[in-house]
Amino acid sequence: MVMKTPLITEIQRFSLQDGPGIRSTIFIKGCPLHCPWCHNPETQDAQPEFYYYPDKCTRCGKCVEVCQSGATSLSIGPNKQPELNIDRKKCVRCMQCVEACLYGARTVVGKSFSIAEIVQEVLSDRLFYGHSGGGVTISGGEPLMYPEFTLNLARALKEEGLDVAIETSCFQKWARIAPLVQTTDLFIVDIKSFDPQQHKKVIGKPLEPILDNIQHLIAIGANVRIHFPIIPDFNDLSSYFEQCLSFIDRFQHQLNGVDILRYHVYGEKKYDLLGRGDTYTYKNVKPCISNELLMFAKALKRFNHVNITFDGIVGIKPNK
Amino acid sequence: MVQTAQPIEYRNKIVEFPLDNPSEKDIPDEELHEHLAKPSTDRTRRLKARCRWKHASAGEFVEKGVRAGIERMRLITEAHKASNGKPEVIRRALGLENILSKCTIVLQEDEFIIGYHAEDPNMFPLYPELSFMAVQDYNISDYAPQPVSESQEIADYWIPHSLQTKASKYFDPVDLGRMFNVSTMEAPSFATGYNSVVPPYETVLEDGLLARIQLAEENIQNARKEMEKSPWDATTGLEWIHKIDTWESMIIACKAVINWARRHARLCAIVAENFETDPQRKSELLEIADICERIPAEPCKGLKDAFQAKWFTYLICHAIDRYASGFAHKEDKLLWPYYQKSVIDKTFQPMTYADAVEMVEMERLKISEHGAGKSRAYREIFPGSNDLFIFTIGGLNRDGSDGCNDMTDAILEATRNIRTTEPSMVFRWAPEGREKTKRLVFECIRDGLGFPSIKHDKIGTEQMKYYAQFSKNNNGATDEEAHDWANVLCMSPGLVGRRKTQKTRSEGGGSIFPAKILEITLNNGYDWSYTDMQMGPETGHAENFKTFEELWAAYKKQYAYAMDCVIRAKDVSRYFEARYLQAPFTSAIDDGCMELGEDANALSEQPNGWHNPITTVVAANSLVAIKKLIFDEKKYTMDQLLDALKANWEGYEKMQKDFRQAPKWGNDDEYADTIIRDFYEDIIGGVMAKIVNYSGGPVLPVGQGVGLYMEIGSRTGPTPDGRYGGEAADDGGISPYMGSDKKGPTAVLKSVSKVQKNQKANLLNQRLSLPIMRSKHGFDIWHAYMKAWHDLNIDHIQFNVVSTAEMKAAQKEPEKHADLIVRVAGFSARFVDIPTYGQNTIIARNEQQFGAQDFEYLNVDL
Repeated sequence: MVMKTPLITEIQRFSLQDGPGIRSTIFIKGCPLHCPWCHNPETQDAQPEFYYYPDKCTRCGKCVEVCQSGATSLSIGPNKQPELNIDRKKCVRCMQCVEACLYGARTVVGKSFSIAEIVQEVLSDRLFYGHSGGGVTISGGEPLMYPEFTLNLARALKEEGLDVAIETSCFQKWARIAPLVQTTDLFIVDIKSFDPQQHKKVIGKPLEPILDNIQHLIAIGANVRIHFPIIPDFNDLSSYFEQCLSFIDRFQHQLNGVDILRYHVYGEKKYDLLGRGDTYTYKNVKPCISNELLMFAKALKRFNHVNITFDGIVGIKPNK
Repeated sequence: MVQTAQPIEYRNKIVEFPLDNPSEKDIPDEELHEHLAKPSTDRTRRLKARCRWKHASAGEFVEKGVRAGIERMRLITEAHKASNGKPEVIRRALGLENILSKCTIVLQEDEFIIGYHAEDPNMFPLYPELSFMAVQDYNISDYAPQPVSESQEIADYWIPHSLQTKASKYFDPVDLGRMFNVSTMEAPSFATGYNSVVPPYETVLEDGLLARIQLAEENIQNARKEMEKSPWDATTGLEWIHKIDTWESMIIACKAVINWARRHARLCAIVAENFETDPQRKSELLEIADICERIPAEPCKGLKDAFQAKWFTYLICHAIDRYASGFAHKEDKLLWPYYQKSVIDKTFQPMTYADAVEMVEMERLKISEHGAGKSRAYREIFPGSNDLFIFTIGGLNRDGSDGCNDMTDAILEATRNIRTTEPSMVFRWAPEGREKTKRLVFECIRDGLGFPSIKHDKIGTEQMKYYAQFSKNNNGATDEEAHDWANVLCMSPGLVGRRKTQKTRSEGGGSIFPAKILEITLNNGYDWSYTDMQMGPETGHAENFKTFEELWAAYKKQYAYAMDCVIRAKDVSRYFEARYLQAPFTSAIDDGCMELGEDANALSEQPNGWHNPITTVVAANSLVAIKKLIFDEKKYTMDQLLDALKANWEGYEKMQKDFRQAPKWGNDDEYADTIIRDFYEDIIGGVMAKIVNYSGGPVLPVGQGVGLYMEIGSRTGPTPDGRYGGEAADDGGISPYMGSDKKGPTAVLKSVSKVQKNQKANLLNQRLSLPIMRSKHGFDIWHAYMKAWHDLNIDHIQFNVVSTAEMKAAQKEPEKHADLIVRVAGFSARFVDIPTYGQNTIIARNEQQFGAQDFEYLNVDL
């Protein structure tokens, strides 16, 4: 069977919030879940997409000339000004329009890299990993949508002696996750909800396999860091906080750490750039500052055996 | 009102988040950053409030009432007329004596360090003997000395005696015309009068001037004996004439300085005994009187002595005898012996650490009030500042031990407290440097001061050794002395100590503009976009170049022509400075000049030649684009490129896009970096290094933007990196072009680390995110980054930690702030790509609102 190779949206150097130290994060494109608050919407769809920046666009029509599918068109608007229309449903993603644009108003999201190319890119910052206890984080999207690729990539990074973290929802068959344990220094996993019905309804996939996999990872001694995202109108409730506390209580001696990540709005512009602004239901939603959250923060202080952060800066580890 | 965090209940008590500085309570949010200042005493708070800043913006002085004084120019001219016929070096000493014995003495409320260089703290002196053009420039401005007619007479008097008149004769008028256009190179130094010096403060503090006078007298006696030796030998005997004159000039100068200091002492005593009603201030004035009576005549015995002696020496060398920019010294090393006496042993002028911090704050305010009478053009290129006041701390001692001490910490703490933009500071980074001090360095940076800028300790020390081998009298820095260096001006290291320091700008400073040189290289030496003149030799029409190497060779010729012009101008200036603008006081306090009977301008023991290429990265990125698109891929022809450039890319947008998208510096990109490394090492540095300057050594590049990158950008036409004509050029010496580094701060370091050969210094600007730097992990992250920077053997780095003001400015003019990056969990964003209310949340978060920082605070004890 031919290995499925994902597109990469970005290899971000000097990442400080995807595990310990100074890291490079590889963002894989494609995710089986659809969290409505997702702040990296460009990593949801596995196919290539493009960003469109209306403020850079001069409505010159070069993109219309090359469009094969009729997805891009010009019309005259109510103010007698030319208007550019993009029908993303018609788009066949040939990216000719990006090539044709003279003003940088369109850029491709999602490019192919070989494993060797990725390794070469991230090796450039080896010195920084060494001084900070950092390394490489494979993130997304969902790396486990491409288990074979992720395994091969993790192995290649490991062969170079790099610290490898994988940031995943753990939504995958256990048999696909298990082989990764040997090559992965840290699993960073989200628990977005403890309510199976809510999880299925809002995120679209069942919660049970996710929780099972996380507990499996912990049970076999893998190094696991838990993200608890705090999402307004979804889980910013005392019931969720209580379950988080009891989860930490149960596993605190086995966990690498816990990061409390409050919802932020910085992803909103990307929905617009991808032409999905209308579908983004978290527009204008403010980050939570509630008494329940304060109480939760206060309650967290009772855990002496686990490293807990807010907003995810793990900080620097001493040289290995 | 500033935002503060809500109180929270924590460990059974209410925890509040009060402001560190309660006076911030009534300050509007957008001004908070300016109010991080916390002068450590009431005295420094008052001194700061009444400081008469001499900052200029767009060439105009910001504060009302600031202008040039006439006193100094009147006195130097009077002395010059009266001393006609005497040896020139004696005339210079008599000029200084005339100024110091007749000038107004300034004593201000609350001051402990006293002394000023003009008749009024709102004024600064002019130097007609250095540059009559600079005086003429003032005479037609709002800042003219009064009466203007006298000032004009004085300027006219000096024309025949001027460096400019003396030196111009030896240059082809065509070359001079090109230099005065400031298009490919800076105007000749003999016209501008711009200068710099590193005074050997050590001899003043350690010996005192009476001891220097005694040395000169002994040397004269010895010289007379040598001259009288039998049999007479003219080949050595006649040399003593000039030496005897020089030593005599040193004696005159030293006596004049002692007398001037004691005039200060008398004034303090008179005020104390007759006018001062506050008993505390009265006793303080008597203490100052005692200090000024003893020093700089005698050696310093405590820290107060040392600060005052340093200040007097600074005024004479930088502002009264001559104008010379800079504030170069290694302050912590210089003051450490006196700190030990006063703060640790308490044997003389006993004081606490906090008192030492206050002394530093007061010195910073003296510098902030100091003003130089620079011409309008020079004021324009230092926007928001007055002059280049930069000193150095940290590094290693001669024996390789850590040079950081408690004086270093006091300097850093005072700097953070008083929060003035001047003087700026350099920290010499060595792995051995103690973490306590590095943490204070970090705090200054984190608070958005923009300094200390950081220099690689070992690179600087090795450089002193490298230059030493070219010493004309075989007396350059020893391996031990090589550790004693400080930045002479913004970027470039030079020796400090009792001798061998840099005394004149012929060694350093001055600019050359590589981007403009590329433009004329493409046009056979012709500048079509700004001067409409032939600006260099005819090196061929670019459309006829068959290979990239031909273009490379033509560029090299153009660059060499301009380099030769500027260095020749500096050395010819120095030739005449040594004969007509001697500096007897600076000579007197230099052990080399004292031993050899030589003037400070004439004697060079340690070569330290440099020159500043500004706009290098625009030229380098342009060459990369040309090589890739015209010579490698042959996608376009040179003819097409020249047409597109002449049209300022209009109608050639597709081409412009391709040239813009060609690989750029700062992305750890092998294709671009290989060409650019060669450009730095073979052309920018390689051509300079072939020059032998006055001191017998090579000239090496110090890449830095100063304020010229905008000014010169406006004079540089469209360039093949995709830039439009008139746009700003790159803002550092080796920093990526604004917004063209796409891979973050680690990739920038990797690119920069590739340039190693033939460089003296290169400015690297880096911007770090304020929320992360202000988090409890800030220091650790920065420290790890700095360790990697050190291992990559990079010469320099300075940080902008993004300020609120910057973010607000970015909201108003987003197109100018495209490279402002904020980083949040698992995700990074350009600030301008975040919706406005999201931006506002980040801005609020930076200022102690209930948010991440408070959780961080909780996290400390979790």
